[in-house]
Amino acid sequence: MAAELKERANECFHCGLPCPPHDKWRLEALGVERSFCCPGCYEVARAILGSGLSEYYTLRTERGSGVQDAVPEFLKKADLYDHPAIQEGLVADRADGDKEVSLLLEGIRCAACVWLNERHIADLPGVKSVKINYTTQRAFVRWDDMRIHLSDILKAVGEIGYIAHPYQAGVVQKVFDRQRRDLLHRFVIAASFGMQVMMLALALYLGPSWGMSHGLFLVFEWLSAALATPIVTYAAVPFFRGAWRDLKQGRTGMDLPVALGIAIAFTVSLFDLIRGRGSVYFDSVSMFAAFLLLSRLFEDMARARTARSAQLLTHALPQDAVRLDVGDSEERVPVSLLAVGDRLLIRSGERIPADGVVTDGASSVDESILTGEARPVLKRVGESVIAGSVNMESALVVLVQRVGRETVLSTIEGLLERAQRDKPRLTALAERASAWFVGSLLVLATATAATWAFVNPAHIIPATLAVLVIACPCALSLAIPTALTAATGALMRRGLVVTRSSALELLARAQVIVFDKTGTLTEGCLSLARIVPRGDLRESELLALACALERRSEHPIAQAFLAAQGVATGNEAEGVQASPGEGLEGQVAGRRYRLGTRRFTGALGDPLTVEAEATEVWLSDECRPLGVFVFNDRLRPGAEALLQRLRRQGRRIALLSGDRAVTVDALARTLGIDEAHGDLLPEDKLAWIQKLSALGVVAMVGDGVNDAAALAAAPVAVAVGRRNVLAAASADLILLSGLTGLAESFRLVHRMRWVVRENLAWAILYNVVSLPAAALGLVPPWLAALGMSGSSLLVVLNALRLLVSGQGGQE
Amino acid sequence: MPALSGLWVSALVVGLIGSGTHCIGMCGGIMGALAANIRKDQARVWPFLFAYNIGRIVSYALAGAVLGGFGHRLMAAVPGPGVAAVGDRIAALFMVALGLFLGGWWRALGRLETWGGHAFAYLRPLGQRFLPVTNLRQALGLGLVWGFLPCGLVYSVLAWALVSGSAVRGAGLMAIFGLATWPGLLALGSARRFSAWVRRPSVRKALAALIVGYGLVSLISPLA
Repeated sequence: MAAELKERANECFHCGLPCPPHDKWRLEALGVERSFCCPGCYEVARAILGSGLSEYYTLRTERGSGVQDAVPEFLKKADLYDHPAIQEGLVADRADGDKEVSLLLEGIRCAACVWLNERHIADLPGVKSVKINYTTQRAFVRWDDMRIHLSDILKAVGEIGYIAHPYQAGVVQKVFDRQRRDLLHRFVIAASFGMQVMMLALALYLGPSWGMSHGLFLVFEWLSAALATPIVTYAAVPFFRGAWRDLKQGRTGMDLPVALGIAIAFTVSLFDLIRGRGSVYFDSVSMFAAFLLLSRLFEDMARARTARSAQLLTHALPQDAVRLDVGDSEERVPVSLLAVGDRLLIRSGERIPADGVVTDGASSVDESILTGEARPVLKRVGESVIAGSVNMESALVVLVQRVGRETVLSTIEGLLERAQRDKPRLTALAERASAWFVGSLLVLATATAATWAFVNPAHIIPATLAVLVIACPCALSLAIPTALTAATGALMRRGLVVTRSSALELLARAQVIVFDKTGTLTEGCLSLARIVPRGDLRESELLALACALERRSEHPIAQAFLAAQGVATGNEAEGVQASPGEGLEGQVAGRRYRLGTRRFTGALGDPLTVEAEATEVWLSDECRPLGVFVFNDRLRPGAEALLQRLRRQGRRIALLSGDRAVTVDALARTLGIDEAHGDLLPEDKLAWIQKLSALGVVAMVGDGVNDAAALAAAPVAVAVGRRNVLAAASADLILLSGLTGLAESFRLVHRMRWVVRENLAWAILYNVVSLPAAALGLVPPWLAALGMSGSSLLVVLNALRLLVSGQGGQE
Repeated sequence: MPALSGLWVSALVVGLIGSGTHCIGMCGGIMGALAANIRKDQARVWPFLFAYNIGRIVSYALAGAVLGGFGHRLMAAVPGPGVAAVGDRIAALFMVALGLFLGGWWRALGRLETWGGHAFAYLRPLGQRFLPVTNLRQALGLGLVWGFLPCGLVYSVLAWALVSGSAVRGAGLMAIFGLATWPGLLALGSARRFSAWVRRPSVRKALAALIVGYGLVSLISPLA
């Protein structure tokens, strides 16, 4: 940009306006003698240069930079998007041969636009499904590439007057920025001209009593017409464009009433002016445009902020990384070229570009991008690190295990996208209602005009205008989605990933919270306390057998076994089969073994008792028990506080576990849980959940491995995540941080529910009160504009409150 | 008594339109320098812009009060009912001159600026003391000094302050003018495109013509 600021002849060096011919004001700047247009510029430049700020002139970009119309080239480029190389990374190939893409839609103004686009895209032959999220302006489209191409979809969207790009994180910001700049530009025009029109209106109003002459009166009227013209022909254009786009589609959108209001007021005023009678409404027109543009600007900003908060920014990943080759020499490579098995050098302060395991060095790593937890975590050799986290202290060498879309970060992003695709029933209903609302509004406006024509023709225009402008269908359609997205964003900061938006409402309503024990309320990282042989085998032999069976298991117990064993031995088990909630069965060295609960291993008859808090795991061969492993587990930090809090909120708590009943009871006593059941098989858990459902909505909190079935059955499922099981989780929410985060989340969804209610109540109340008042002619047009803008803004800001107070949790 | 309402409006219009064409180019540099100095952090720049503009307006109002008071004395000294009307015509003439000046058609006001430039030379060292701006007090001080920058726009409105009828009215007139320049100037921080648009020769000339027309109308029409 700066390079374009070439010195043009006869142009003021400071301000860029033409210099007078005499060229009297000259000064040396940046090594060259420059001309100035006036003593003012000369003085300013002299002061700036004189105080050593000459770099201002080298850095500035605005002088002389022309206005370039950003003609959207997207449609011309649409065909490019069919190219496989370009689709790489943007389009996902599904296992069934379909393709899936996430599109960014420009021009989404309201719920009705969402509905229109969804319908239009879904009607294309070959498109399997389409879901659009209002807040993030994103569309998720799945199609059969044999029948339709991506470019056709993009063009189809273009046909109805919107612009779609394949979603790329960088592009989003640009598009948001461009939209915002455009609106701001229009608002500035509307406001500066509008202010003058208002002053003139004031003069016109007061003029007669101050003895203003008729001539001046007329001049002022014509002046306000002249000043209002750019407002209507330039600043208000988005409203007309939107309304026209809707009309072409044979429907009524949110822009229509506003566009009608502005057009009618302006035309009527112009006619009255020419005929030299009647009152003019140029001030109302200016007010409409200025207020509505301002509220739209704010709304866009709030919406962008909300949308940003609910997205994990994968583009926060670095662009390149330092790869070590065999001889440890360093090479800088783009992240997209990284492959599994590469060794990376991560210096302190750098972001880790891929998932992997530390092979050299030790350092603390900030994983807050995932967990919301600001405290760094210590990583040593053998421990895994995730893409997106920041190395805080000293250099680490990391062996890459997952790259690109496989990383935890990308997986979570995928889950979040899924959440935003999900459209709660109520939202769909509100979208439908708001489209219908606009239609009835037009009817009401016509009726108002007709009625006043009989009663008092002087009121036709102001009353009809007020009706058209005051109604706020936006508040209705914004009420729910903004609150949901804000809540999703706020929850993410607390380390809770929402994968299904409709679950939030259910979570808020949950009456019964069912907890799993191991890995949920307790640490789940059990430590082997002792081994009690019950047969001929020695402790080390028992352990070797157990480890052989557990080697491939994800269960927390397996980790504990392997940790206890230390060095792996050669024992390999074959044909291992897991019975969820019971144990494992498999062959080692030709003999069958079972490892698991007392019942599963046929050890019910054994007289040995283990202390209540401990977890016991039995090992048996085909005929008898061989020994028992005793594990200790610790309560997770925050568990007690969480339960207390939930109880204070009046929710019932239940503990369902596959662990021994004595252990479960002991834990229940410590935590004060009345409803606790142990020795449950997965199907028993299902039965219990169904039984508890009689008491109200059940939310199940489990670790996602053992409880997959129970989690799937519960109306709301919260997985207390192990990161490696993310993708498999059928949960609605995934907790990546500690239990404290969960406690706050309950409070937050509760508040979200209130925000939704407040928003809906406000939207309904506002419209119910304001519309009749406007129709009766009680509301002046300017107040109508203010009311409408304020109302939709209020709804968005109210939702934003969820985010704002959400920040406390991090600090 | 001159038609004060007409003057108020004129001051407002001139401030708005004029600041859109001339000041954005000139004072924009000042804003830019302030901003550059405190880094391009919008949230932190705003208070400085605010302080600077407050200073500028205080200076305007001060000058308006002095001239308004002086004009009042002058008119009181010259008896006769026609004085006020003459004053209004003078104000209208200044408006026409200002429009012509902004459009680049006639640079009579430039002459005024030259004289003002000589006068400002005395204030220059004072202004230099506040640069570079690092705190709000300096921004305010700079605004106070640079309120007296040679500027045809300000001078023509000052001419109206002269005929406004009293010191208070003169100050009020100048304050309104100053406030009206805010949207045009503050827009700089954010709406670069607006300034680029306003400075297109065609747009600038159209706005200047509007001011000339406004001036002509108030010159011809029988003011109450």
